[in-house]
Formats: sequence, C-alpha cells, structure tokens
Amino acid sequence: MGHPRPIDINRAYDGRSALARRDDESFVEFVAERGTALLRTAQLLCGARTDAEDLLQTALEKAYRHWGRMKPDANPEPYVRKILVNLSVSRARRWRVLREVQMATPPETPTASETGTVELRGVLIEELKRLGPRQRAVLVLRYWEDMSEAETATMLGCSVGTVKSQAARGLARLRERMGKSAQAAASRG
Amino acid sequence: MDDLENELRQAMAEHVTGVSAPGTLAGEARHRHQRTVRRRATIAVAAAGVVVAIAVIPTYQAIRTQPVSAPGPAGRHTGGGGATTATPALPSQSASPGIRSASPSTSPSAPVHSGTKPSRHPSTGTHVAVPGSVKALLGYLPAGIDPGESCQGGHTGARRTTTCRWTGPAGWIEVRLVRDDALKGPADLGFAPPVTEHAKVHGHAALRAAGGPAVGQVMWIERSGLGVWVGVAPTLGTQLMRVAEGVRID
Repeated sequence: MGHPRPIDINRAYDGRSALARRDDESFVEFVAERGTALLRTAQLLCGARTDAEDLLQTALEKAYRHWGRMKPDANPEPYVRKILVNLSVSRARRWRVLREVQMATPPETPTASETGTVELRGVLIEELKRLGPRQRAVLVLRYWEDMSEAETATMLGCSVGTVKSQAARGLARLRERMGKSAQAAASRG
Repeated sequence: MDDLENELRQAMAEHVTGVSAPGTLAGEARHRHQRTVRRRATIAVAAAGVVVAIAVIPTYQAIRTQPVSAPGPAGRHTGGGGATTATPALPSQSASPGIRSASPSTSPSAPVHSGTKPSRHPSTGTHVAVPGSVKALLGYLPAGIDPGESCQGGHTGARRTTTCRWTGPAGWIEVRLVRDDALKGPADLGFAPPVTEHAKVHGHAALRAAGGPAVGQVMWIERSGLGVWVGVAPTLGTQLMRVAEGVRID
C-alpha cells in the first residue's frame, strides 16, 4: 500500500496518442516495482496463489498489448489493476458453477484456543473467499487497497451506491458467518 | 463495524505476507503476448487459406482451365464453371521439340462416313461431340499434344460416330464416340484388336489392347447406347489409361 494511485483511470490510457510511447523497458520496470503489490491483490481477489499468478499474467499480457499507447506520464497501475479486477470477476462468473473460489488448501475448521485472534483472521479470509466475486472485489479494494467508495466505483464501473451496498452486504455476511463459526467453536470447546 | 473492518484489513495483510512476484513475471507476460500474437497470426493465415481454398481456387480453375468440352450439337464453349467439375487437370501445352507424332496407321480405321464437315478449333480447347446431345470432355492432354483437334462425324445405318483427333510433337490421341442402341459391350464397338485384356474405365468394363501394333487402345460402354474408343500413339502408350479416365461424357 502507499503507492501512487491517480483517481482517473481513463487518463492512464490514451489510444489516440501516438507521441512519446511507452517502451518494453518501462514495462519491465513497472512489473518489477509493482508486481508484488499486484500479485497480492490478485491473491485476495481469487484466493489461490497459482490462480493469482495466472490472473496477474493474463492482466499484464493485456496491459502489455496496449502498453505503447499509454501516456508516458500517467501511472499505468490503475489500468492494470482494473484489468485484474475485471478478469477476476469475469473468471469467477465463469466458474460460478463451483459457487466458491478454488482454494489452494481445504478450509480448516476453526478451533478455540488462546490465539483466538489469529484464527479469527484465518476464518475471515476463508469467509472472504466464499463471498461473490463482486462483493469480494469491493471489500478487497476498499479495505486492502484503501480506495474510497468513488475510486472503487470507478474501478468496478458501477455507482457509488452499488459499492456502498455491496460493501455493507459483504461485511454483514462476514459478520453473520463469523458469528456462526464462533458459536460452532464454542460448542466444540 | 470498525472492529470487523480492521480485523479484515489485518487478515488480508497477514494472508498475503510473504507473497512476492517472481522476477520473471514481465518476461512471461511478454512471451505470453508473443504466443498470443503468433497464435492469432496462425489462425488468420489458416482462415485465409481456407477462404482461398473454398473461393479462389475453384474460381481460378473455372477461369484458367480450358476443358475439352462442348455443349453438344449447339457448338462448343471455352471454359466455364460448370464444365470444369469433371476436368481433373489442365493439360500441358508444352511441346517437346524433336518428337514427332507416330504414324496414325497403327490405329484401326473407323467406319466413319463423311456425313459432317470436319472441324478445326483453335488451341484454346477442344471438344468431341456426337450428334444427339452427347458431349465429351477430354480432361487430360499429355505434354506435347496440341489442344486443338480435328473432328469428323458420320453414320452407318443406326450407328453414329464422331471421331476427334489431337496431334502434336509427342504423338496423337484419338477419341471416338459411338451411339448405337445395339451396343451391349466393348466388343460391339467393332474396334477390338485381336489380343485384348480386361480393364476398367470410369468403373465400366473395358477392353484394352494387350499386344501387337494395336497397343494403345481402350474401349468401353459408357452407358447404354454410347460407346467410347480411345487410342493413342505408341509414344503415349503409358498414358493411355490416364487419357481414357480423363474422358467425360455428358
């Protein structure tokens, strides 16, 4: 976090400009600098590490295709991040039949212990993975990327109201599931 | 609400701790892009090839091939989409200098009466026509044979015969179309040489000269009432069956 993040994503890409095009070297520099942050976002969006790498590679390939037409003075990260989010949502829709995001490891049942806080976070992540792709994207962008509601709405191509409602529903769902998990753990303990 | 949001932030931060992008990420993305470009180019080339195969080649053949065809008694037409379907190849028109045609005397004489005027067509294609709405296509001409032919028609009683001849430095080719309702087998054509062997032309039983001066002839009944005789010069003996298979009767 803490990376530069212009609000207007569309300013990063200008298909009409033929002047001062970006080159391969700037692409390599960008990926070396921001690759890890993008991979972390991808992992939160899609769950598994392998899926995250594949998702990020696909997003970078799409960005590379139009890299030369991006304004050299604009930050390309929002553009790449938008591709990433759209890819994760569309891919999750394609796999909707699974209802849940593929996980690298099977979900563990939380148990009561002294390190209850750590386990609570693990359960939170598992429950986050179970959310719908759009709700998950909203929560990741709002609470991981620290984007405002307006920025999130721009990124997802929806209204601010939709972002608000999706975030509220996502959090409510997490809270509900967390409550059930806590009750189950208490009954086992 | 704030507690849950903070916990979610912490949970996400912990979840991705230790995640770092491989150093080859940019290179892999570029290679992936290049593979995509190559794949698209391959698909485009393949699609273009299919389009060419489907549209251009038949058109080219329709324009460029000069089938030995005729619309029947109404005359001949040079080239045409419909006539090319039965034409396997464009006959080569290159002549080999120094090779002269063999003596026509090796071909049996046909019972042809000069009932119609012999015709000579230009070298853009030739046809064999039998009076009575029968037309023949000669789809293969060996190298050294001129596509222009000389035709004669005649009749003896109920039998009508058209004989056409192609010549060139490599030798000669003669095709006879015989229309007679009494024709039952190749031997009924009356051109059968003394020594024959069985063969097949267009799936029909045929008689082929097996030795002697008459080698280079084959005859068959194309359909009821229509017989075909094909003879070639000894120099073209090896191409007899190919010439015969190239004959198409409409």
